Amino acid sequence: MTALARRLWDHDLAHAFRHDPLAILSAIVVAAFLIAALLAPVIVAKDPFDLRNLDLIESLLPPGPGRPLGTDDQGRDLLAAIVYGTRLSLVVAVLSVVVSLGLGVTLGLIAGFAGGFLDAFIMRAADIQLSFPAILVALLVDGIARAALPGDMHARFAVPVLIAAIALSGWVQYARTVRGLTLAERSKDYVQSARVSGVAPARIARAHILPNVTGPLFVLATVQIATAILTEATLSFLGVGMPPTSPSLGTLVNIGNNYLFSGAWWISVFPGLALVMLVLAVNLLGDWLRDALNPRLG
Amino acid sequence: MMLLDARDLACTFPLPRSLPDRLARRPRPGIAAVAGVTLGVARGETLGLVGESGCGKSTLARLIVGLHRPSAGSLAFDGTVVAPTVRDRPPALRRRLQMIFQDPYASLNPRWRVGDIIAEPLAEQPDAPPPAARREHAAELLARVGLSAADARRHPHEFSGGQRQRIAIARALSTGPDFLVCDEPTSALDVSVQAQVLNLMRDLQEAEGLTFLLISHNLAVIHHMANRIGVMYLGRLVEIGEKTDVFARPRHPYTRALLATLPRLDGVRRPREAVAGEVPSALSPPSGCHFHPRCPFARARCRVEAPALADGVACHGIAEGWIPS
Repeated sequence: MTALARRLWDHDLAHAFRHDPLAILSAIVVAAFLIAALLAPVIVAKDPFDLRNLDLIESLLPPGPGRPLGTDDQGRDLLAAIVYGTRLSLVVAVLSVVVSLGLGVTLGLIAGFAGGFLDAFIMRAADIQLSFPAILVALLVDGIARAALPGDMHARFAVPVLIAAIALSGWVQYARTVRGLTLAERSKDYVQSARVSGVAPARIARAHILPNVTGPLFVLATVQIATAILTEATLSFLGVGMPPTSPSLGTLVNIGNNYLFSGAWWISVFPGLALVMLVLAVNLLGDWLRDALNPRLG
Repeated sequence: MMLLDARDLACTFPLPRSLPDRLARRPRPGIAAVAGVTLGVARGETLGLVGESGCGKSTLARLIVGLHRPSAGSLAFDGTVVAPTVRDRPPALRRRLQMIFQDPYASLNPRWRVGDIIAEPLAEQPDAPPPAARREHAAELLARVGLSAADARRHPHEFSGGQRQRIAIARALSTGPDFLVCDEPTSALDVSVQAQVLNLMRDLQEAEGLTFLLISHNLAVIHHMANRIGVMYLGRLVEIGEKTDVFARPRHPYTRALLATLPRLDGVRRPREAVAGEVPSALSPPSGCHFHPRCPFARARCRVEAPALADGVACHGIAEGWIPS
């Protein structure tokens, strides 16, 4: 165990990390958000998503003793709502990146390895996909889900629908990257050597090419998590994401938007700040990772 | 009987056609990388194949192991005609016919452990032994190529070029093949380790009764290793014969020019029959004998008619006796 810790500590990446204060700072911020999201029930006394815990008498109270960030229009403690909202935002963002990563890598690998008609088909689909703004694709998926599912069902399936919507708008980046790298790897001799030994094409793609094209995806996925958090917040702000009964950060900003001019500024401002800090920290971490892994910037 | 028999093997790589050509239904242009090669390799021998870059040596190697589909001709192994592509060949044939690639920095998957790399060809056989037995086998192979069994757990980047080529050889040997196609096995290596790798190959050949098709542009390598020599020029085999004969008495004008480039230790200068001009493009090879634009002996017939391989040499002048041998 100590040997492993030693190796991690001595790794180039760990070394680069220790010498970059900005990376350390953003890692601390991201870690703080992650811990808060993971330990939400421990940190917060009352579950803000449980309607029985809400008391309208306490609604729209400004920050003060016992409610450091104030309350929203339903009488939720805003700090509790932000902690639970962050949890939702992170779950949606991470899962949607995982799904779009899986989708993009699979399609990119097939396109690059099979070539010919499949390649043309997948990459033209990607081109078409890219000509739509991500938000539009997500809105489309949400609209279809809304039409297909009855009203109360939709609220319950909000999270999977959001994940699908964001994942579907994000796979193209991975597919393009993986396809390009696959084209380069495909002609290398280790692939030819596997062919000589009779390894089946599907196994060559999975066991030989895939491990050699995943490197750049790390960086891409990190940056995409920030994008996914923003897309989720945008959709929720527009009212097509998380419902007001279980608000994410974007939903909270939206709720606060209605009360901004009546002086209840805290409902929008604090979730908004949390969102900005989270996205900024993830982005900075992604940038650092890209620079640290790029041998040419050494 | 020959272990490997290639008859009129040809491989043309199609090129994209322009739109007007496509509309006019003109035939699709192509590069004839290998244009009808007939040769046999006897059991236990090393056939050295020489020729300059782009003459089709590597393509011929890939045709034999089934990486490319030949556009014409046939290939027989141990007396039976084999399927053109490796996917269509039975595992028992893939087990007997293996290949060593030129660049050991590219032919070993950087993400795999050496033990897994070596065991893969065996693991792909239908009657593959269980993983534990394969690991043992890999360790044994590593020892046989002069590496240690502990190296099985390391990755390719931890090895030098010569060591990597030893790993590639161990991999090729894992299924116990009898025929190895070696495509420039030492040209990516430092001169200091080339001889080590070649000697290892020769020792293994003796110990296991291997048959080699050794491809190289390096005449010294061929001279060191081969029993017989084939000379290729622009997709065709122009001369083939015993090593001692070809080196002592080259017949085809191209072979003469090629051998004249060899520096000699005895200081005696052979008359240099320098080849004029450049290698013609394989896109539009010369008519008739491919060598005629550069051949000092060329006559009218050479420009129109491609010479057939007769008595080990494909040359009108030799066949008709107007080139002194």
